[in-house]
Amino acid sequence: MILSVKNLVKSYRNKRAVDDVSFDVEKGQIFALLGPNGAGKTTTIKCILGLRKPDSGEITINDSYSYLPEQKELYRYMTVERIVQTNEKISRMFNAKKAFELLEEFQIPLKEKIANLSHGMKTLAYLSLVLAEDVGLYLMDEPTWGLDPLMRNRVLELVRTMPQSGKSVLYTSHILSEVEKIADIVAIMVKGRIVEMDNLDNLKEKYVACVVPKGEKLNGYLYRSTKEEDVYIVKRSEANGKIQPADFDMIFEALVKGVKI
Amino acid sequence: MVKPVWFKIDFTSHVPVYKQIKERFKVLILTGELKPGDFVPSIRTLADDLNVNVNTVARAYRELVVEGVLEPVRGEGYLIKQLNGEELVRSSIENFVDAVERCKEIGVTFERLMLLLEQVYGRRDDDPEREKLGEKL
Amino acid sequence: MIHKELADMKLRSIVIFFLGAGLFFFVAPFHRLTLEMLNEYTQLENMPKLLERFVPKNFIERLSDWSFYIYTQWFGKNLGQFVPILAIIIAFPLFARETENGTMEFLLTRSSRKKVFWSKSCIAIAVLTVEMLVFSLLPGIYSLLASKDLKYELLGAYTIHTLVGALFWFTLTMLFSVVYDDQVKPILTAVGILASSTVIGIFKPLRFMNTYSYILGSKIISTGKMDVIYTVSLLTVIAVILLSSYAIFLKKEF
Repeated sequence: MILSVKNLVKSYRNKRAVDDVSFDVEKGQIFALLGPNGAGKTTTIKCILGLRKPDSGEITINDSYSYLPEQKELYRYMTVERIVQTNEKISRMFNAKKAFELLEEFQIPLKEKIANLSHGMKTLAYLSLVLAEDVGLYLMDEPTWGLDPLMRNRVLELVRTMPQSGKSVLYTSHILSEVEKIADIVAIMVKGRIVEMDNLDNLKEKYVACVVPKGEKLNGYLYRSTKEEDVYIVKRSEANGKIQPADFDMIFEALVKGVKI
Repeated sequence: MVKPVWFKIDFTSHVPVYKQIKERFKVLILTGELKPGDFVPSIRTLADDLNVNVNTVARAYRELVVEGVLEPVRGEGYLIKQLNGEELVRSSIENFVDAVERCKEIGVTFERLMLLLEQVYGRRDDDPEREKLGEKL
Repeated sequence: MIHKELADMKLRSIVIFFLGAGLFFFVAPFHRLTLEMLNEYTQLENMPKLLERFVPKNFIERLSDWSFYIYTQWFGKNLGQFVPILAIIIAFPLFARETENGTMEFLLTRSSRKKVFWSKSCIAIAVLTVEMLVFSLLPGIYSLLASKDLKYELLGAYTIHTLVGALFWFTLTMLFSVVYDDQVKPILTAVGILASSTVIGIFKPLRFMNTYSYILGSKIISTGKMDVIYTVSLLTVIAVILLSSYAIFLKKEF
């Protein structure tokens, strides 16, 4: 077990941003923390890293780690090349050669100042730094946000292969399609709580969509309401009415809406 | 000889990826592209080729082994098992049930399906082929 | 780390250096001219009473002495006035800029908080010290080159007052740089305290609040010696503020 989070609680001004969150990340596992904006994903990661102090809870990290923050900010006056050199001086597990290889793959000009890079390029530059660190756990907050589809796939492909070298990844996202490609475990976080956490394949089979006449209540999550009918996302074991398969998109939306009867 | 395998996975489908992999393998066997005795790609290779999580492929292979479709060979990898009659029947029926469910979803009536079955098996009463299979079913 | 911190401070350090050097060259070469101008004013029949108050005749006589002139006009005016400001400029973005623009996360996830805090503080203090020492040495160098006779006995005291005064305003501003999340608040707070402490120092019992009289070295010129008590007190306060900043930084959330 590379990372263990037990009963993490973090509040801001009496509001619980992270409300009793627990999960583990195993070696060689890709763990996706999904949820809408404001769900508490970033706060969770920051508490894990010690950037924020939790109110209560236990956090254990059993390996070296590297972090890609939500705000991918680097020293604006430095060139990309200079940032790599600086990183090399500060960090022990950094492989500058690998960073340069990644920067080339991502087509980031080395002599350009960070200030002149677009948001997407800055993200790719930061990713090159993070992925070039030889650590056991990579914590990434929205790693593909702002990237064009081609680069996004390249990054996902890189993340996908990391378990092959025994590395673990914990990343947050609010883009479902990415998660489906690479995640082992998915945790859905809404309003500070983890409402569902399981192996992605299991999740898809766990829930089905049930269509019932409007007003009839089911023990599940209300997904859609038409003029005459209600659609619920329900656990397969408690299914009723007209049953249809539910894809991850539907499951996610229903859980996030969180209207649990 | 390792037979290369590639197909596109639908990540947004409600069907989990590992299931899609299993189904595709079975289809490839049915259509003859993969024959009993052929070696299939290693877990790692297939994961890389399909751009899929390694654990997902591992699960698919695991279940295919349990179902008797694949056979692990020490030091060599996985190969397509010689399907005996029973397994062939079982997987064919599984595909049939899936197809029936799909027809039901889109609104094909029970009566129409029955009609089709009758057509495929010839006339109800006196077809000798039908009798043989019918006993085994 | 060292390299990066120095690079971060490059612009500020250069600006301050040229400011200081420029200020010096508004003082040193103008000895004779200043004397002439002041003598002219005192010759006037109707010299305004105000001017008489601020520039007593005795003072002008003393000014003709090069040492008195350079000490009172350089340490006691041109440089002295700016010392707190220069120190504030070095200190205010030290932590706040990286917090504001998000690069603090880059540092903190690659280095311990202890290392980050002390590298930043020590390197900035070193830069500030070097600059203040250079400014303090300028009169000596100029006197040598221009063959002026400088009484070196007071130089040490003035240097210490300048340096300690600078360090005080540096650490105070750095505290705000640690506490606040943006660059504007530290500079406003520090300047605000500078202004108010100077004003409050007008009242006799609170005279110690006015650090300017310490930095400008009025005690040195009148007693010929360094103000040991004030120096030691300031050093103590500096140490307390520095350790408090460290404690706050350790607990801060990003």
